[in-house]
Amino acid sequence: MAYVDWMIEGPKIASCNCDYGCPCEFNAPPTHDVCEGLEAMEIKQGHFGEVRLDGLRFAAAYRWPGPVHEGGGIVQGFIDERADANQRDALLKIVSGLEQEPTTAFNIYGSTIEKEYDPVFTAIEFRCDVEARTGGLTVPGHLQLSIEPIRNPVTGRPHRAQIRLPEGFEFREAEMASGTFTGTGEIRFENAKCYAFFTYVAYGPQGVIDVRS
Amino acid sequence: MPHVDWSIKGPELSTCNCDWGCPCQFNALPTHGYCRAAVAMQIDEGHFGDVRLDGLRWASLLAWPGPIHYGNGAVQAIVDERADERQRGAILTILSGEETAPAATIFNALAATLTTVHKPLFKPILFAADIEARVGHFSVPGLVEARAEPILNPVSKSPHRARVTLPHGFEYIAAEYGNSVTRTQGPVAFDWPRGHAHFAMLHLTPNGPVR
Repeated sequence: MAYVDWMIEGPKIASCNCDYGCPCEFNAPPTHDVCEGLEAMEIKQGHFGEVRLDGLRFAAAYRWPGPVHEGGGIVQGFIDERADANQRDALLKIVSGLEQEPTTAFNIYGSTIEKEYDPVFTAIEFRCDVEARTGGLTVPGHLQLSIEPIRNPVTGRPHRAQIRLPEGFEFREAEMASGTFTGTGEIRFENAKCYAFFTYVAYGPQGVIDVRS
Repeated sequence: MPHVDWSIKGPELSTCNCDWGCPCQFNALPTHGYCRAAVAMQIDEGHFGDVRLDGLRWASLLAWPGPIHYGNGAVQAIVDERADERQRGAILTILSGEETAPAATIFNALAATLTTVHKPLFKPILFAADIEARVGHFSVPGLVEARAEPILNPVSKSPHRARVTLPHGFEYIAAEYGNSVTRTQGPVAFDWPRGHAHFAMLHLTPNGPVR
């Protein structure tokens, strides 16, 4: 099947309520059974057909009652308010899994979702310093995330770790970190010092495109 | 303080009772609250001062009542019976974390957490590890049987490839992660049908991994 030609590339941050290193990255069940968290991406460069998407951001909040692949999830998307009508339409198509293979991250996660709240067009503040492993996300009235390095429990020194998934559908390589976040909108949660990662990815109709940051 | 010049290089297979992806590798707490581990290495190339260690193997069976850094652990070291007196002494010195800069190797970092050190045993050790394929096993008659294989995706059942890099690690810099099935007997006895495994090419010296 022919899809619209599209691509988005840029830094992505995410955090969930699992412990550091999230067992799900290794196909083990989540630390606390329930899985809840948030993620955001800043498109450094991107397009959807003729529509440029450079500089735009999007985010999502989610919760599943158990391991993601067992389904029953809820999700809400957040789209950069700076996007015009064409750009909004393009971003919504991408995050909804349209114009792409069933095996992309958007569709694999999408297939586990039972209820989707209406997307919100809003200001999205996105902070990301991979080298320092600090960053965060603010979606006013909805999401707040702060990321810092994992620290060694004995020495207190920052612990540096990377996960590489050569066939990963969400990322190929991610830098591990510690996330503290709250959801105060339709999907509510509060978690401190749990799994977070930084990655630099590109997605297209076939899924992850290998790029170097 | 200057240490004896030593180096051991070769494949390691490490198995523990945590679930896949062992949270301890990321400084989180162990999956089941306590740590059990069976580890083995084949030294392809190694020396301790003027003692050659090439081709020799070692294994360690370890148990802690909680997270490793809380201490009170027990260890049973096993050294290849083919090692002569000087080689046995050299390998045991390295495994006990001596002749090593503080916290430079996993052996040195763990030493302070081990309160029960059983008398080392000298036994035949079978060992094979294909790091790329994530397949391996090691065994010592009457003491340990461990095997490791790829993690399988719970939905597609296809092998799941995951590599973890710890740029400042004291054991490995990069390791392939897998599934382990391990059973031990003797003074440090435990077993699990599904646990963490990692495969790594180690290269350790008194100052830690060669980067």
